[in-house]
Amino acid sequence: MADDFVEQLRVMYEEYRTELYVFALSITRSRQTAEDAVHEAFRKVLTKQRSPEKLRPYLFRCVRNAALDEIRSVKRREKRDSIFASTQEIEAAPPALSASEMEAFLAQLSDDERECIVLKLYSGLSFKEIAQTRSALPNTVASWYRRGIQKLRNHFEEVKT
Amino acid sequence: MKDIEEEAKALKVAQPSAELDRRIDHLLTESGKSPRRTPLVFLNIPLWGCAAACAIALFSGVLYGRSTAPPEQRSGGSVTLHYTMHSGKQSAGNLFDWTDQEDHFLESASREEIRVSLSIGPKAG
Repeated sequence: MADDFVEQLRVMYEEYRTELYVFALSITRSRQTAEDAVHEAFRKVLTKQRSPEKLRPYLFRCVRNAALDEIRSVKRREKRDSIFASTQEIEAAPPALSASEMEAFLAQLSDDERECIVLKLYSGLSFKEIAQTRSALPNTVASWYRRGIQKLRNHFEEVKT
Repeated sequence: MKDIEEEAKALKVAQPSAELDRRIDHLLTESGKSPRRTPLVFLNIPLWGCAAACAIALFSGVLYGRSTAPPEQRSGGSVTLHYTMHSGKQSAGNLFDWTDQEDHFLESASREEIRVSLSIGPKAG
């Protein structure tokens, strides 16, 4: 049972390593602290010794808790690393919306809206899974997401006009 | 024009370092080698736990019964096992007169859901 669980966690990490890391990074705003949070989350999950019913949202929830713990203890929030790849890391031509614009916009959102957008757009979670991650109702997280996206639309329409 | 939501989704995100991969791999490998054990073995083996608790209780009950009961009743003691589910359901059974009903109750309860206490005393009547 324990070996199965470890193997399950290994598969989950290989499949969602970027998504988990980006989610942690959106909370900690520090690459090093985000990596520590992901590591700490896996360490804590391993102590459970058995797989929860919905492992993917459970892992994201653990990463969120670990990231919040990290920023409380380390106080590195003033250092602001972007959740987006730096320009040197982008091989193709950048899209119309730049990473720095999006980063600046995300910083203006509430924590709920920002986390929902990151989990939905960059971690690929469904509203149901985000709800499990956040201990909230699916309708609530869907409204956080829609509100955030609407703000994004308004923001960039204002910028372009 | 592409929707802003799609544009936002198309942005390339940062990648974790190889160092994190190495740390997680090390964590999982070490954990796989030596799986942690639950500190209380009885929690993992409820029947063993029950058996051990019953044995201790019987022994204690007999000793207690012999030491406190009137001479004519010193042949044994009474040991009552009280168990309470977190749902609030309660029951109790005399270990000297264990019935199938108690067995069934204990077997149907998951090991996390049950709390057990014992009381011992001289043999009744």
